[in-house]
Order: sequence, then structure tokens, then C-alpha cells
Amino acid sequence: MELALTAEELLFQREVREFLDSGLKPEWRGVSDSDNRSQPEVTAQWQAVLATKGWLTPAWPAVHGGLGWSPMQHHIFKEECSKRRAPKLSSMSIGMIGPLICLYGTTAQQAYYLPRIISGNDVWCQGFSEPGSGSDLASLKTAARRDGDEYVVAGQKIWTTYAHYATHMFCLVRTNPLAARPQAGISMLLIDMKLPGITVRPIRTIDGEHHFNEVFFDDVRVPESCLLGAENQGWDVARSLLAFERSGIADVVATRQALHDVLAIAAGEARGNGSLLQDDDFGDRLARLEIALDALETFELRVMDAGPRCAGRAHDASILKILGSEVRQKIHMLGVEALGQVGAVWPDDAAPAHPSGAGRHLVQDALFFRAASIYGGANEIQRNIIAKSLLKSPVEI
Amino acid sequence: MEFSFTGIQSEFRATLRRFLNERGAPAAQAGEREMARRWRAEHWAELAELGALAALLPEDCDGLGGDSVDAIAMLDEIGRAQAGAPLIETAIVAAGLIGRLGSPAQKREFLPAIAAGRLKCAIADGGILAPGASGSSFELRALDNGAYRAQGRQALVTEAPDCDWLLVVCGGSLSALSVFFVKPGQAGARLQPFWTIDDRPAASLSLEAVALEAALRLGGVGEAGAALADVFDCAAVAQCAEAVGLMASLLNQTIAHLKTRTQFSQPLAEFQALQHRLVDMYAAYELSLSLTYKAAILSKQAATDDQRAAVSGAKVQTAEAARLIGHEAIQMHGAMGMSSELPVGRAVKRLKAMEPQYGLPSYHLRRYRALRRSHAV
Repeated sequence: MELALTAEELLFQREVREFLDSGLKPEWRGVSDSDNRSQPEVTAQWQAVLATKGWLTPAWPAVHGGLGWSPMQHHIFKEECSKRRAPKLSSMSIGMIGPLICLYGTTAQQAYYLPRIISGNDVWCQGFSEPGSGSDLASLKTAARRDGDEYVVAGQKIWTTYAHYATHMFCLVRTNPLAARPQAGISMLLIDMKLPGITVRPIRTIDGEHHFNEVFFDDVRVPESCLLGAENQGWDVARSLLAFERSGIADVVATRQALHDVLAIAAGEARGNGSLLQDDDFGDRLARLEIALDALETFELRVMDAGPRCAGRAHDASILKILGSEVRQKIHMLGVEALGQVGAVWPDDAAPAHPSGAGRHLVQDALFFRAASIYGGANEIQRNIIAKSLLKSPVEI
Repeated sequence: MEFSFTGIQSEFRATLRRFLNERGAPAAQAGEREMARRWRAEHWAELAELGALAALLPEDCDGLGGDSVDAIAMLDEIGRAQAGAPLIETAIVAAGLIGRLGSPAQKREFLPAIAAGRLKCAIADGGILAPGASGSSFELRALDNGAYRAQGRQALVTEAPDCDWLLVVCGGSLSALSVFFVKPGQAGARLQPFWTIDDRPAASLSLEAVALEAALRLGGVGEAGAALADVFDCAAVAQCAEAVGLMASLLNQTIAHLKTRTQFSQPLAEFQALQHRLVDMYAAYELSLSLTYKAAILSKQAATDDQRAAVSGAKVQTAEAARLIGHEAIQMHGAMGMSSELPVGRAVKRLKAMEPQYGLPSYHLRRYRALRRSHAV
């Protein structure tokens, strides 16, 4: 057992640091610290710098621009980007639909879509959830009826993150309403958001921001060349997404930054003769969360290290998702508590800022990250997955 | 970065697991404690033959020169088997103190005997890391002729009735501690034996003007603090591994029970309320295992602030997880979980008995805080 990086990994880390120190402009740092302050134009510039370097799509297959990095190299790259508060790239484009098109796309689809994702021309959103289909996604009803060489799409998607920025949507639709199992009648379509009949309506969330949308499809005619994978195989296509992302799910580095923000606020808050940070109760609770975060960080490294030999441990991703979101939510709430009365102030421009300056967006973040235990498969669903693994298959404990 | 055990470590683990399974740790139910005690005494020699006692000792004293990762590999198995073998007291704390502080003659005298299973120690630390040790402390009194006597008491010294030597820690603060070997039967030393909740022999110890021999002192007078701190940290890591092993055993027992026990015409495993709680137990186990690994890896080298923080973090996390897993395991076993005939309750009691050893969780939480805040902000 060893925690230290190998000589090659240290070299790679230095290369990443040197690249980031020169390529990542200071004014870009921190623009997407929290999802509610995304600045698409900055993200696009950062994406162009990465594309020039060839480091935009390291996880894609080599023939499509992937780099064949080891799990540790991916981890180092993400960690160094996170530490410097680099803008977050569109996970839907680079992390999800890109690899899916590499895996399932026709040669024509790959030639058309992949360069446009890399150039930043196209930005994708994910059309999965519907008003009646959240955790029970396979019950989705948005219909795609075949008509000549087109699909006619009718229905509604909801909670569609950043549909208002997106040029395209990868969308799960029902192509066979009579299939024996609901999963068997679903297909994935690549839909141009400019097609006639698509309406995007904003949904305001409790943090006062606009992340989510409703998307309505009113007999939208989608060419059959936009089908990804085989017809009625869309569920398997979507499920293969789960295999791509094992590292970074828990977002430990970002959570550690949130913890440092809380430390800074608490250090500046007077309590008795000292600061809130020195307060027995507050300090103990913060230390417990820091220990939980240390544990999560090491667990994530273990999962990464076990990578190739992790047969039968698919549930590790679910554990990372649950713990990552829950620890982060607790740290944000402790931050709001540290703000004291200012924690109840709606953070618009007229509102009094907290003296530390650090707290300005903390309330919004704390509110927004209530979603972390819901999106990406609600934590209850993740617990079902882990329980199934523990109780139905022999997991070595 | 690498989180797997070496081939040799895995092989040793497997051997130890086989040995413990074949010999079967006896059910130490009330009234059968003496049987368990005899079992432990009989198999101490076999543990020595396997190399478990020599594993962590220096090679020039009949040891195998193992490190903290070897220690957790071993103790995890001791925990899984619920063997309760008092390895930590003798093979880690006593051997560690002798190795760090002992003279060449003391090392030659004591360490090979420990490796061979001929010598067992109990640690009377005066409760230096446990404010709950109700008035425990041992005072060092210097006589005019340069000799020393020890005075004081300790409410609880585990393994004291079965040990060959007591290692007595005298002095009130970490900066002025001295360590002496004392024979349990020595004039002025009084043991009042009893059992702990995990069925281990223990005693309260009182020392009335007990004469301390210079030849039986480990290191200089008042100079043992640093070594004690380091050795107790090694013990804490090993103990976290034993706790993790016990938690694994509790999880496996609970999973087996949920799959087989039927109520309302279906196995308990079908009930989502229980499924989700099982998942939380399992996550707590994985987090404890992770911090135990981290603490063990960092403890392979000399102590640093990061290493100490990792040890304290592991101790805090493990104590919390032990309670969650232990109490939920009893609950999910229903009334059967209350029966002294099931191993569940014994594992829970062992976990509870270990909790205050080598630093209360509250001590480690505060130490973690102090270490983390010394540079940050």
C-alpha cells in the first residue's frame, strides 16, 4: 500500500500544472464555482484552449481524440483543474453524448457531431426526465412515431438542465409502445433544438436561478439519421453512460473548497473571546465533516485504484454519489449557519454582504445543492442499487 | 498510489484466517469466559508459531520487521474472527515501547520472548489519553538514594490478570512520562480482577510505594512521552483495523440474516426500510476501512502532522461507524440480536470496549482539529 504518486505521475502532474498556469486566464477562474453562475462564453473560451492542447476529450476512444490516460492521470488532471477553479465544461457534451456517439454513432454521425462538440459549436442537453417519469425513467411517454424517413416527436421533457443554452438534445423517446417491457420500447434521438415545434420554458428554482427548463415537443419532425444506436435499444445506450464516469462523481476537490470557504467565514466570526472556528460545538461539527471528506477522498482513490479489477463492484459509483452529495450538502448548510443572520438574506445586489466576502453566494449554493441528492439518480435509487448488490450478489466484505 | 496488500501480506492474512477459522474462537458466553480465556492461552503459542507475534518486531530481535500495513492486515483478521486475541497490548504497544526506548540488553531480553509467545504484557498507562479513567494516574517518587517508587491507581487495566509484566506509565503529562516494568505480584502492587464487557480479563491496579528497578525502566526518567505518543498511535491504527474486521463480520452476519429470516411471507431483505439502512451501514464500513488504510500507509514512515491527523480521523470515523453498525446489526436481528448465544452482541461489546482505548474519540477529534487548524486559515 502506498499513497505517493509514481515518478511518471509526478511528471504528468507537473506538465498539467505548467499548462494550467499559462493556459487558464486568471479572470476565468471561479466563474462556474457553483452551477448557478455559469458563464457559457467563458466556458467556450476555456474549451478552445483545451481543444488546442488536445486535452479536451482525454476519455474518448483514441481514434476520436482520446488520450488513453490512466485513471490516475484523469484524476490528477481533474484535481488540478478543480484546484484552480477552472470553468466547468459541459458534462452533457464532453462527458456524456460525445462518448456515446463514439460508441454507438454511425460514421456519418461521428463525422458530423464530434468536431462540432470539440469546437464548442454544439452544446448538448439531456432529455430524460418527464413530468410522470423521474426515478421511474423507463415509464417515459414522449412518443416518436415513424413517418417515412422521419420520426414525429410529441410529448414533454422537464428539469432539462441548460436547455436554454443548448443547441442539441439527446432525448429518450418511446418508439414502441407495445413492447413487452417498458425498457424495450425506448430509443435515443439526437434532436436539433432549432427544429420547428420545440418550445423551451424556464423553471425557476429555490435559489432564484434559471438552471432547469420544460421542453415541449409539438409534432417535431426529426430525420431518421438522428437515431443513435438501433431503434428500441435506447435504454441500453443510456445505461452505458454509467460505465464512463467512475472518478470525479463525488467531486471531492470542489467540496474541499466549499469547506475552506466555511473555515474562512467561521474564522472571521467573533464568538466570545475567540472566533466561531474556535467554538467547541461548531468546530467539532466542522471537524467531523472534514474527517468524512478525508474518508470519502481515500475511498474515491481506492475505487480508482481498483478500477480494472473491480468486477462485481458496480455499486461503488453509487456510494460515491450518495456520500459526495450528502457531505457537500452538510458542509454548505454549516456555511449558512456560520453566516448567522446574513444567512437569511437573499443575496441580490442591494443586500448586505457578509464581511468575509466569502459568503455572498453560499446561501444560493446551499439551496441549489439540495438538488445534488436528487439529480443523476436520486440517492434513494442509489441505495436501492447498492442494496441489490449487497443482498442479491455475493459482495466480498 | 496503491491500495492492495502485497502477495506476502495477502498470504499471511489467508493463513491467519484459516487458523482462526479452524480453531474457532469459542463462544464466550457468560459462564464460559474461563473457557475462552484458556483458548486464548492455548493458542497464543500457535499465533507465535504463525509469526503473528513476531510480525511487527525488529529483525535483529527475532522479529519479521513488519510495518503498520502488516499490522492492519493481521488485526483485520483478528476482528473478523472475533478472536479477541490481545495482540495489540503485547506485540504492538509493549514491543513498540521496548523497541523505541529499551537498552540493547532489554531488547535482547524481552523482544525474542515476545516473538516466541513466552511473554505477555499489560499496559497500565495511568489513563493518559482517557479523561474518563476516573482518577487514574501513577506518580513517580524519587527517593534520596536515587531510587524511585510508584504510587497510584488505575481503574481498568485489560489483560492484567493474565500478563507476565505490567508496563506502568508514571507521570501526569505527556512531557514528563516514564515507563517501568512491574511484576503483577510485586510487593505493593495489588490487582483486583474482573471481566470487561467483551469477556476479557482485566483488573484495577493499585501501586503502594512499589519499588522500581532502574534496570526495568524503559528510557530516561520523564523522557518516554514522544515514544508513548507514537506507539499509542500505532496501536490506535491497529485497533481501527480490528474494529473494521468486526464491522465486516457484523455486516456479513446481518446480510445473511436478512436473506434467510422470513416475516410477512417474505425475506427481510425485501423490505426497503431495512435495505437502505443496510446501505448506510455498508458505506460507514467502507469509509472506516478507507481511513484505516490511509492512517496505516502514512504511519509506515516517521510521525508527521498529516499522519497524526489521519490516525485521529480514523479513530473518530471508526468509533462512529462501530456504533452505527453495531446497533443496527442488533436491531435488524430483532430479539435474536439480544441473545448472548449469537456472535452479534459479542462483536458489539468488543467494539464498545475498544472505543476509549488509545485515545477517546473526543480526544482524537480535538487533536484532529488542532492539527488541521495549525496551518490552515
